Amino acid sequence: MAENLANKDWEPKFVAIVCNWCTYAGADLAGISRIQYPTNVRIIRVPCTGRINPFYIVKALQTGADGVLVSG
Amino acid sequence: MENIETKLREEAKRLLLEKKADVIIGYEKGTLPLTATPCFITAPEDADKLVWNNLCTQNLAKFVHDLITAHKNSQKRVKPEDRKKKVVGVVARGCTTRSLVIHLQERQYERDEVCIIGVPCDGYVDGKSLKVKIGGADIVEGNIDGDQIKMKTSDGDKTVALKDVLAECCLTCRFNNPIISDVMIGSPAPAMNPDAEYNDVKEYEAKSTEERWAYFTKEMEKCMRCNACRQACPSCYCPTCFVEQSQPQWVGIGEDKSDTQVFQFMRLYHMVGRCVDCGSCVSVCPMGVDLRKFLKKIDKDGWEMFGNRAGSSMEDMPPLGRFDEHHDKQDFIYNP
Amino acid sequence: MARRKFATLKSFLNYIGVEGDRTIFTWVSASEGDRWAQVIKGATEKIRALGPAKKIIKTIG
Repeated sequence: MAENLANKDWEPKFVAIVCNWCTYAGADLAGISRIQYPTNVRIIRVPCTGRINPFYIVKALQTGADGVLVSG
Repeated sequence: MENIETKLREEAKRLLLEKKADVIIGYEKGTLPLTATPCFITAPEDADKLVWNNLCTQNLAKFVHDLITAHKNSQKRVKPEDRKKKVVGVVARGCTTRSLVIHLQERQYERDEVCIIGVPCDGYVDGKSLKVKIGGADIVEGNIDGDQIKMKTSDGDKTVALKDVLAECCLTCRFNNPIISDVMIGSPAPAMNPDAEYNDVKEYEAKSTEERWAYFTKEMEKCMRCNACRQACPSCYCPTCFVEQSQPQWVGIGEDKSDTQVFQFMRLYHMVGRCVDCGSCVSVCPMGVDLRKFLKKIDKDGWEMFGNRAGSSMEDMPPLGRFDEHHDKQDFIYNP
Repeated sequence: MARRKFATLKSFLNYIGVEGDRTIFTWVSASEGDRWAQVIKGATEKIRALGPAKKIIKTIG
């Protein structure tokens, strides 16, 4: 994502780390219901929000994500 | 101080003779002038080596954990009924007992595996600020006389007031007397100045984001990843630290600045509810990185968000291991 | 428990100078597809306002 820095038409790209049972299903429902939402998000599914090591968030930021969303 | 030292030696000798402890971890006179170094005493006659003064720096809880873990590993292949128990005695000031409390809360060993000789503490000398105070001269000989440190240096004789060279963490110490102890030596020490403990943090918080980031990067550029802070920290006892893990590799091992920043950030972050502000990491850092500014913030967060001071009582649970439905703040949660 | 981890992480990231808004925590239940869309919209706007991330990013390989 380093090219973001030089690019004029910059769009944010962020990681969403979501729980399999709550938010992932919610996002699925959003898809099924054809609700429009921005495409700037990259979803990572985890078994539970408790599975998230704080290091995942820092690592995402280190490898170039503009932000991290955690949702349970 | 002399009085405490003699009592300490007697007590250590008694514990070893009565087999109440198999080894006593304490401090002995260091090889360099004006230093004290950790020592392990197993023979009662060696107990006279023990010292207790303002030069005793390191947090000995680290060694308690090391010894007990090594002993447990050595017993793994012994039949359960033949296993021997090893009791480790430790000379402990306030911050050392807090570390021991954290180990006990985290179920690292049982309370009866450690024998705590509590000593009151009135702060230790920070070697780095002492060096600055005497203009970088080499100390040839020195001793502590009351509240003065008298030294022969390469620059001639010098005298420094003890309170000017005490470590930062000691000046604002809240728990300078042992929290738990089996044997207590001497009477409790007078309180320090705990009301000022978060002044630095508050000042830093008031700065702008860019200023804070600039300071953080400046400090982390000094770091050369020697891992001395981790080795000295009593709360850093994982068998494999995330730094050394290679599958997955959490932190790069190259010279990239961000790797150092991430390493330091995560090591500091692992101290939530576990940093006892003993200053061991700061005192061993060869590059003089200002770790305390960041650690103190973690301590402040633990207190303000969860009402927890690390290791301050045996009844507490680790703050990240529980949840309070009614008192925990909700303000970090985003609501569109 | 998890939320305590994230509360302290966010506060500490903010303290060292990485903008606090870059880490967002929220709740969306399985029946809230609409809320999910709202969250993503809100989060995108928040991060857009901050601009590209420049801090703590690895530049070499």
